Amino acid sequence: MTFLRFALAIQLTLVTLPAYPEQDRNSYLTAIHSPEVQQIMRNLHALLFERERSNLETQRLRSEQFELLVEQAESLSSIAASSSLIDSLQQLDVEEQARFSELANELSLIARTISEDNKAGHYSEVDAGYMRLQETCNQCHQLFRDW
Amino acid sequence: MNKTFIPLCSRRCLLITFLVAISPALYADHKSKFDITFGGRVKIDAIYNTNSVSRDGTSKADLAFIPQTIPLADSSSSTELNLRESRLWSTLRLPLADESLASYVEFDFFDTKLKANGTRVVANRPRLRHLYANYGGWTLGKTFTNFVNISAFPEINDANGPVGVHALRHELLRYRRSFDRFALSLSIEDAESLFVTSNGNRVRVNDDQIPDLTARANINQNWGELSLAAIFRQVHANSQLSGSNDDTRWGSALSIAGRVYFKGKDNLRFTFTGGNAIGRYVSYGLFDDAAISADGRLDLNEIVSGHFSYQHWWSDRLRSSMVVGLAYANINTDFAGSNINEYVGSTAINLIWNPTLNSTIGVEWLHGYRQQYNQLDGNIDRIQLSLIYRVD
Repeated sequence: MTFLRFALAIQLTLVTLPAYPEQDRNSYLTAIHSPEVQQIMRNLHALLFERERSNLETQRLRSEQFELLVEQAESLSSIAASSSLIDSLQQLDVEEQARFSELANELSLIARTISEDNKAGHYSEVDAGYMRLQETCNQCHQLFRDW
Repeated sequence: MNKTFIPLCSRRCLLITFLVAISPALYADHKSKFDITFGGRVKIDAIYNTNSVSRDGTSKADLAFIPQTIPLADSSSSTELNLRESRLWSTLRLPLADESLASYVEFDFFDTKLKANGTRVVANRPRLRHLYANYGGWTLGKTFTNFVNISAFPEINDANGPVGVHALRHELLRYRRSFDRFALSLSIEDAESLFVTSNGNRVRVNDDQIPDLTARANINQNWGELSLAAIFRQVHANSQLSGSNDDTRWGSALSIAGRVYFKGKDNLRFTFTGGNAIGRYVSYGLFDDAAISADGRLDLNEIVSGHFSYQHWWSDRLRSSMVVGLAYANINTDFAGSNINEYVGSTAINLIWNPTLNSTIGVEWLHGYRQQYNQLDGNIDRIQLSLIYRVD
């Protein structure tokens, strides 16, 4: 439940950042777990194992999903860097807060790299980048699951 | 639309020659912008059939599930090794104005040839799967019909998939427009009809006068996606075929297809299709489009077909699909006789694993069944082990 609250908070922060200090603190204490991100990650995962579509069609669909993912990752990165979110993570110790920001920045960096590789047609790098992205998501989720 | 004036092989040679010929020219003109990539996959199948179809040379039906060829009597078993579902593809991109012109060509090696004794066997030569260009929302060339939703395809090792798929690839002109979570596509597609004659024989004709017309609407939501597609077809038989009268009929069909996600990555994929004049579209010509009487009158075959699959992910790279497909045709037996298929079905279950992102290993069991109007029936069981290595 704590993990879900953490997920919900990031999502709420995305849309209500200026109003954050007045909100109930618990409603922010979540990590990135929005339905949109879940859908993007799920679609990318499915496209990774696609066998029937033509390669060009698969690339087109992946490009669409990566563009959406980069938007989401950059939002997360900017939120992680904002003082309001750091304030909201008071339950974490300093080391954990730093780790959270580090993972959020890593997520954003990987997403941007994937997007650039995708535009340049370096698809094997895109696949590897996607797996790194998934690992980063998992690391963050594991780290804050019991929080 | 008669294509027989150029032999099949010659057309392929012309195509390949054309592509090879234009590539350097394009490269020279657009050296700084031009982008071409090559890729492919090697797929090795080991297949055990309980009822072999091959008699004189290897039949394609022993390598890929073709439900209309399920033997009606017990036959000997066979084991086949097959590389013909390996593929080669190339993508070419050229920026034009604000968009990118992308063209795509893909071959596999599943071509067939007709032997002198009338048996159709596999030929070890390339077969064109896709050749098309995209610009903006437009697609021109040979690719999957707009009537099909590829997202609803089950993941299956078999080259053709379960009964009820309508993954026909042919020439088309398609326009697609996306609106956030909604997309609409319209197409005109190559027309060709399959007829069953009064003695039960199949005749493939290519004298249709109006292209097939299709429309498809897709919605994408967090729970998955859903599509509704419609097709309108003219089926035409000329007097040369019947020996007497010309006849024309209009047919139509609707298809609903989708992929719905459950917990995690588990998903249900389905397609249900109903209508007439779609025999050529269902399971690569499982049924005929129409029955033709001895005096040249047409009666469109009414067809209901569908497939669904549940895919469960055991881990990030290991998954199983359970697949069921069914098809039924209501055919005028006064025109076509009773030596024709009525019910066809298949079920399959598999376990597929990706040890690396580029490699796939899968094992699958498939059972197929068919019954004719004359009550003769047959079934087949197949066990297939597939290894795929992909290079992009």
